[in-house]
Amino acid sequence: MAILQEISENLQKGYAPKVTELVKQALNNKLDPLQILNDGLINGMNIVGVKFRNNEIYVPEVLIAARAMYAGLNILRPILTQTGATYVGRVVIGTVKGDIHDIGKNLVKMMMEGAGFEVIDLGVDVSPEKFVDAVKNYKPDILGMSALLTTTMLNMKDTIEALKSENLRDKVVVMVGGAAVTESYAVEIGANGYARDSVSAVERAKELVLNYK
Amino acid sequence: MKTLLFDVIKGKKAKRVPWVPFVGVHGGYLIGLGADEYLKSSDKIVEGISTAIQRYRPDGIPVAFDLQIEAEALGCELIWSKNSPPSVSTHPLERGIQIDSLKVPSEKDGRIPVIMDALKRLKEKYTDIAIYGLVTGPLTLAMHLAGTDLLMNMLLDPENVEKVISFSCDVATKMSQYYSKNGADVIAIVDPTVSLISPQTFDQFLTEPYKKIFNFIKSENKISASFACGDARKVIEPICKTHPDSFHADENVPLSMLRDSTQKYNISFGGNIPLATVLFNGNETLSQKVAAECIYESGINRFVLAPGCDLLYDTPPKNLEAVGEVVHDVPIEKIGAYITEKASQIVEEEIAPYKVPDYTSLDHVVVDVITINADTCAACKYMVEAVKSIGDKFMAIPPFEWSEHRLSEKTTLSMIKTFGLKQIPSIVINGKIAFEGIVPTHDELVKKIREASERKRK
Ligand code: B12
Repeated sequence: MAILQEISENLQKGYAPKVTELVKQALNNKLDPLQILNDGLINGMNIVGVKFRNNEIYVPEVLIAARAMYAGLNILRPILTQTGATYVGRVVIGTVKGDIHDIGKNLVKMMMEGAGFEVIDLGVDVSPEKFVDAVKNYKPDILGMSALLTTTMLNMKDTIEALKSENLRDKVVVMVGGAAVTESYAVEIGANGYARDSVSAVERAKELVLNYK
Repeated sequence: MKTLLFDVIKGKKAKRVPWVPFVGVHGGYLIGLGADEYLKSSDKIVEGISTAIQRYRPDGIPVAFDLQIEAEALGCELIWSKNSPPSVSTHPLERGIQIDSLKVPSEKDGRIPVIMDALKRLKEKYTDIAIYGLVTGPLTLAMHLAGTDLLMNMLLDPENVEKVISFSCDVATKMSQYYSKNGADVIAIVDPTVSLISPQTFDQFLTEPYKKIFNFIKSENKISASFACGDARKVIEPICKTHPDSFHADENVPLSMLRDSTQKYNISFGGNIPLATVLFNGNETLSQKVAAECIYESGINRFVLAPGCDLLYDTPPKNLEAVGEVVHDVPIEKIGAYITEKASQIVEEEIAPYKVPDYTSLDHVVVDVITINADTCAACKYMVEAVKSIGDKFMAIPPFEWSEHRLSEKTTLSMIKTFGLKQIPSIVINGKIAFEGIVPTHDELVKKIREASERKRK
């Protein structure tokens, strides 16, 4: 559908007002909101994610695309909820204690929201206790932790241990990421998933939710 | 030695590679103090850096590595921790403060006097070591002031971002002046966040500010340096065009690439021993091998050996002492052999022997080309091409299969050990060393492959 293509293209360029306008127009044309979301917004955001992964675009370009995505999402979300469409899953995410790098974590959050997850963002410098409390309170499907420093990466392990001692470890899927983290470290500390960028993070999150639900 | 470092940066001939360990909070670790105590006291900084100088035998060293000094003086709140530099927790421009109301800090603001006092005392104490003054780069400071939204606003609200960056540039110029006045030999603009933006965006917002700062440093007759972090490959060229005297990057930028880009502009380059995987998690042998590889890959011309960025707090000091040994004790012409020696030592320490295939049972000859990395090291590339080209030529030679084995792979280390290699790059044919360190001619290579094939038939 031409208009969905147009939504995707405008999103990629970060034209938030244009995306707002087009999403409204598509709804007026009686297009299925879920289709607008998938073939318009998510499609556009995925292309952005892949271009970012390939170093074709940079953080500022991704951030304005995400802003355009939210512009569209804010219109669609209430309608989707009304029509009974549910979230793919619930994610609690945060940057670990001692670490304030949040650009990567925010990108993962944006892509996940775009892909239909409900995301609760705990921000930066999040202690193991705070993560545990959030798991108790929000009962998420996935707990995502981000760490960019070799020194703070160890706090991921502490969080996993804390979940264990509260008997919560098997109630939640743990995903880890951030420049310091590697796949083998993720395995070593007993996380369920790792992803090196936000596109793969979404793919992996979907797989994990399907397998564990 | 200071003069050696200056000579290398200026492109003059030197006997060895200069070494500049970026001791920041690690200085606190050396004297048993947390970063939160260390970075607030000039006495402690002098003590920490003095210890580092004695133990690591550097040619240059920063007085401190803390990119939050200017931000703090401008009203950003900091979170302190024991084992890393402080981090900025609040961004004044996000809280309604206007950029026009901010004033460039004076030499008395925040911790600036602490750093300047430490600098002065270190200069008095060590006349033969270059002291680096590290200035927060304009993009990083702008992000401290305005938060990460600044990145998005580079596209949405460029005029405002230009204002913030222009102010940050004024701050950086002033800081450079303070460092210069108090005796710093090299003044480095440290801007890790430039790896987040495109070369076009760099040009649009940072080319002029960078030029302005480097021109100022030059006018003070000091040496200037630019430090980037992360995957800064695409912004190397734009930064070179602003003409710093030297450019440092971390392991995300291959040294050969950095060398080729900087040499076009007659700029010295430095880097890039990995902070975490090598210096922090590795042992002395690995640190020495990687340091030697950096030297080998870069060549001695205009190259400064350094870690990729600020050393992690509790980096084992013995690893840094070990790097100091490479710099001072291994003659430059022996570096190639030294790398192989270290590689086999590593194998001995931790790596299983290479499982040698049963060559007699194969229907072809096996040619193993052992390299550092044919993409980055010229000699390795010639070695690989020598083998590749015989495959292309029309000639009756016995069938053979070849592969390149790079030093970064574990099996390569096992091979070096098992085959008893003393030099890299080398060619091993059916398990026998055929050429070590010397690129063979076409005929020599074909001859060895024939011999191997005949040996097998017997
Ligand atoms: C920007 C930056 C900063 C900014 C942070 C701004 C902010 N609000 O985030 C500032 C200037 C404040 C900063 C400060 C510091 N930094 Co810094 N910083 C960087 C830099 C240049 C880029 C990081 C970044 O944003 N990358 C872009 C994003 C998109 O990538 P990403 O975070 O990796 O995220 C992607 C994936 O990893 C993944 N992902 C991320 N999170 C998650 C989570 C999950 C669950 C999953 C599945 C996936 C996932 O998806 C993301 C999108 O593709 C890096 C260099 C580098 N190579 O990474 C250094 C770096 C991370 N910093 C470093 C250091 C040392 C510091 C300081 C200590 C510096 C100092 N000496 O003062 C302080 C520490 C502050 C603290 N306590 O946290 C080091 C870390 C070294 C180490 N291994 O420990 C690095 C590697 C630089 C270097 N080479 O030395 N830094």
